[in-house]
Amino acid sequence: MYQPQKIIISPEVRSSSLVKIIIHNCPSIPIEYCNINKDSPYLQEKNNLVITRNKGNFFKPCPGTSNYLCCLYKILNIGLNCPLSCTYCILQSYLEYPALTIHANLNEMFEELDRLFTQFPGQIFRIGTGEFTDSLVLDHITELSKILVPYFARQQKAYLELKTKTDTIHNLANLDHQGKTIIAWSLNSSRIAKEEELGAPSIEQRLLAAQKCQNLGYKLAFHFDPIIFYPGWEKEYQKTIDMLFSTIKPSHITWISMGCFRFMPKSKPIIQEKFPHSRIIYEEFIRGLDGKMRYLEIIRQEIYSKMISWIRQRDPKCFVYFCMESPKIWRNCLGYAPANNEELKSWLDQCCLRIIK
Amino acid sequence: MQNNISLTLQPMDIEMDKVNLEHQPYIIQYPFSHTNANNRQRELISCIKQYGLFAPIIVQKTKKGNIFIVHGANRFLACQSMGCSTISSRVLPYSMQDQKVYLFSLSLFLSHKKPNSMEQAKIIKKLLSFFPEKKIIKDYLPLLGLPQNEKAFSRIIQLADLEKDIAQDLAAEKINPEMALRLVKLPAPERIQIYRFLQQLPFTTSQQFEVLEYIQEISLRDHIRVKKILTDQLILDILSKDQDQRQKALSLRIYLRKKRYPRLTTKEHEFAQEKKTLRLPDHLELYPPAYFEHGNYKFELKFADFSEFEQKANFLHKLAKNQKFQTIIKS
Repeated sequence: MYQPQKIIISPEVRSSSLVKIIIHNCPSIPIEYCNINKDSPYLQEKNNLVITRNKGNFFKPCPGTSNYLCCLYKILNIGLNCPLSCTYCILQSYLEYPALTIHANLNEMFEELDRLFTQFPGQIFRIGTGEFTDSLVLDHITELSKILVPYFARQQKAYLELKTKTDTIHNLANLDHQGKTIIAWSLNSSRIAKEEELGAPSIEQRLLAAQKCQNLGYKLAFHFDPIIFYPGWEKEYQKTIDMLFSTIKPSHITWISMGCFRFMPKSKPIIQEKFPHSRIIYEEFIRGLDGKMRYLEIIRQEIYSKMISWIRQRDPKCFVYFCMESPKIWRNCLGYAPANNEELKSWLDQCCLRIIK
Repeated sequence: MQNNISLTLQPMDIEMDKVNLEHQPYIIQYPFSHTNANNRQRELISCIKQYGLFAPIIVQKTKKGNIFIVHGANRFLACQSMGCSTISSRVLPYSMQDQKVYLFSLSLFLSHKKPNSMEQAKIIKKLLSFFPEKKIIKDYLPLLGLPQNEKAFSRIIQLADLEKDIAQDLAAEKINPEMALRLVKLPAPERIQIYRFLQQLPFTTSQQFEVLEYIQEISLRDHIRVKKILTDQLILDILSKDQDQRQKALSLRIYLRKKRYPRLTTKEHEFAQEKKTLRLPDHLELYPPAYFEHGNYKFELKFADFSEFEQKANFLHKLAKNQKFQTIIKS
């Protein structure tokens, strides 16, 4: 499990409960107290864990992407960056610095959420913490899940999705989640997990962790994103799908999402420089309407159609959706498409309301 | 730069054959050899012939008797090619330290010449043996006409050890510094192979980038060596064709693009074939959506007069009922 080399604490959060928990869980890690701003040299070191106050909003809409269907997911910004080294990670070019940052002003975060839920009492919220970091990769240090899961259990219509590639789930036991937290794993073929998701547990380990969460009564979700096209991909992705359905009961799966590998053009030299062994950027890509590089439509269509058929063979009723895809892809691969983002959101909201039998 | 050097030394004649041009640590000019004689050099020769050597060159004589040119390398070459056996020189004492002599040479060089990219790279490399990186960035990059930042430093220093072929072309501005920076990232044997390949045909700079990217990415994607790509029979056939060089360059780009983007180019080819079956009249062009994915099909219609417009409009009207056309659009 990840251990930082140094912990940097901004003085304005030194008395927060989260800081106390982190210090307690990292007894042998050197600590420095220092004001942090965007030019701080501490932010340039990947092995630093920087604990600071989030001065902006915690709650944000998913950045989404124009011209493709988006599920209108909401993000809870608990921190930035990730100690895993996935070659394809968009954070490499999205964020300005590599240090791991945790926002410790949780009181302000919950106040913001309370205000929001009061303001929109009828609305269903799907909120995830895994957009700018991995939801659980620091949970052994922060124990944030022990705070977030009970908070969402008390909400009427808000659902928390903890999205991870790790097996750090020990804090999830004995929590009264009330079915309001969905534990989600990012899955891939075993080869991609090994060669491109550096530092992340294997697919088997992830699925075993998912199975434990299933036994704890949690709703589960799985994200095949990014799906990477390479010679022999079919056999290896099918194997992951087989492993998934051999380990997890379909009734516990809230949804499975899929998204083919895409990247910002400026990520290409970064990947080339940081991961010269990686070959994932050399397939046939085109510049999509959102400016990101994506596989040709015929490749994406082939991938999705096959993946869906393998999933359907194991569970014909499983809810599958695409992350950032065109209505044409939806129609050609699933036979239907949401009319707009709002409709896709409503489909996923309905999935949240379903009770595990 | 501080060079408190007293040049009150009396000029003296030194024997030119005592100067070993192969080892000259203070000559900054790059490239430096007779083979690079240019118009300026010829002018210098003619001037010396007419007026004599007006200013003595500056050299340093080492304890071991080696003679290093500090300033006046071109005058030295000119005199050498004129067959002179001695040259008037001011000789710096051998006690003068390496750093001081180099900075003196640099100061004189920069006072009359803007360094080319190779000179910049080699100067910085040499300065690194005297000073830390930060000092070079702060004090020397602006003198060399470079931005005063780490990025500029790390970019230019990469070029210092380029192979002679590429380095000389870079100095002569025959290749773009950006291209040299791309080449420098390749392993040495591949760098030379690709560079020589690019020099064979009259590619523009942007075409050079395009071809380099195709070759590199095919090599990485398919796990094959660059040499194998460059000696592919189809490439050799293109190169040996009895064709205009520009035509060969175009054929080569088309071939490499096909190899890099096989599915997209197949789709483009299929579309072009299907479009042919529609027998579109002149001045009526059909374009597919970008990458066959984004947006709309597009017709471009040009006409000289109403009669031509009417003719094209009638054609389009008939096309709306054409089964082949419908199939093309659906696919």
